[in-house]
Amino acid sequence: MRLKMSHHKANQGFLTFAKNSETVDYLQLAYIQALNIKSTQRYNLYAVVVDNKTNELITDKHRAVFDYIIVADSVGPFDAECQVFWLTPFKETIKLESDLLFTRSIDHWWTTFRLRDIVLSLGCRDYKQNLSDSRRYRKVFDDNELPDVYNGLMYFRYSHTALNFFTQAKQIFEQWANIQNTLINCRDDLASTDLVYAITALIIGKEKCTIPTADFINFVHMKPAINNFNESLKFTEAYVTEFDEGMIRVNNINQYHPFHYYIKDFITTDMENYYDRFRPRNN
Amino acid sequence: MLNSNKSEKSRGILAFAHNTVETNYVGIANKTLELASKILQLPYTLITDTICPPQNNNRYNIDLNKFVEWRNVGRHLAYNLSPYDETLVIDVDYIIQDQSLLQIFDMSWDYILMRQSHALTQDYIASMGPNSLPFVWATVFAFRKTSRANMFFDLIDRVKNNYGYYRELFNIQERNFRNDYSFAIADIILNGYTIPTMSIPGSMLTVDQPIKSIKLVNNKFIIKDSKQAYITPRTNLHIMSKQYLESEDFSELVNEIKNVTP
Repeated sequence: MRLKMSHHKANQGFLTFAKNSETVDYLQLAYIQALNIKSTQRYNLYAVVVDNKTNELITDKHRAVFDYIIVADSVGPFDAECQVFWLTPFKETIKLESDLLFTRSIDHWWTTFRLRDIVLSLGCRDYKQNLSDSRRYRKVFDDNELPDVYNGLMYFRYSHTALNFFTQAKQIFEQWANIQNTLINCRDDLASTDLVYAITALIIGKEKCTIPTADFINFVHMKPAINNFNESLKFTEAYVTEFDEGMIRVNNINQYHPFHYYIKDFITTDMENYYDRFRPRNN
Repeated sequence: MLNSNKSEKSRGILAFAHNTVETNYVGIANKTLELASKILQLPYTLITDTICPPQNNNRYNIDLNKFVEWRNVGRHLAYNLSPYDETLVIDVDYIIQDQSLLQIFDMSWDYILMRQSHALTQDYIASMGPNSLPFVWATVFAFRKTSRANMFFDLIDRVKNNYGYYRELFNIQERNFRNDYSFAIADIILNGYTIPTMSIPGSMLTVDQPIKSIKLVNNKFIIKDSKQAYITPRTNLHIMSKQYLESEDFSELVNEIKNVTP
């Protein structure tokens, strides 16, 4: 495969996908995330990929914050995620899930990311900031000896490795009905991005797309089993959660690692008001 | 050449004892502090009701199988009441058997706590509740007279005075006030809402059942309860059975240990 001439508009930045559903305003999550990144990161260019319908909801408020708005009508729940290689305006991209926030700068992570052409998060953390040993949501990964990767926070740069990775991932998405049957104990009729990327990592070589020794490249995941609370509860019900001038505190523990809140109604008006301070104003 | 204008830092052991109807804590303290002082070669100070007004609470008495009066909730006063620059605080039921605790004074800290404990037959899950955070053992800790240590004890006082609020905030299951919990909460807050890891090295051995006898044989302890005997290396012991600590058997053990170099 040959790389075409770069179509990129900037060197490095963050990107997320936002396609509103009936129940979740992903555009709003992306907006909060963009403001969060502006307030915590030095390299803080932000791109959002939206579908046509969500694009209609974009106002001047959003335009003031999003550096790049990319409309890709095929944005589905998962299937378009591997299009990110061709959609990103950045030569180097940190791709995020929209329900993830930072409480401190990860500027220095870029240096580590550059050890590979593509870096997936490996493992995840609980709210106590410890690497999680829960396998509750990862049985299919273990049964198939797949790497424990997460796409919620990942890095790639314009390179042959990344081109190869995303091309393979795209083919797996397209052939999911067949590939699903080759996996042990796989009951996912819809391909999940984490699972597809784990298979892709195994095909291209996990040593090319993970850095196990950089054990900080991951995020806090607030799913119940990872944090040892009852599956029937949200973390906001199981624990006291606080937002303190940009710091997120769960059960009295400050969240210093990137925080994947996962429960979409975690965002409160107080948080919106706090982040709104970082919205660029014309005058 | 020594600077004659600079005094040596004072270092000593501090304990609290408030007698109750069931237990003569001062009597136990006299034995355990004398032993600790002899082994660690440090002076000791005992704080009793006359200088520290007791506040009532209750604890589960393993000898009597029921909740009994317990008045030892003034641990936060250790900072102001200690006459030493460097203070090792122990519960009167914590039996010093060797000099290992002296080594913590070579480390850099404002205060240092015991974070791990195990019993003869089980490891303790040190959590303040199913959805809560780890607690520490206020049974043994040390502090230096620094502003940060002062802040730590002020915070413990605040937690104690507003325990209902902090109990809710930290998802604490038990209703009773525990020094262990107030120490843990103050520790987490003072460390920027993180779980600190610096600890008195090792795990504290707690004997949490009624005891019939403890004998020192060949530098090993033979601990007997009503059912069986346990053999452990000679190590510091946290003994929950106050009945045993008040017994003649314990007095004999203390006298014997005082004469055997660790």
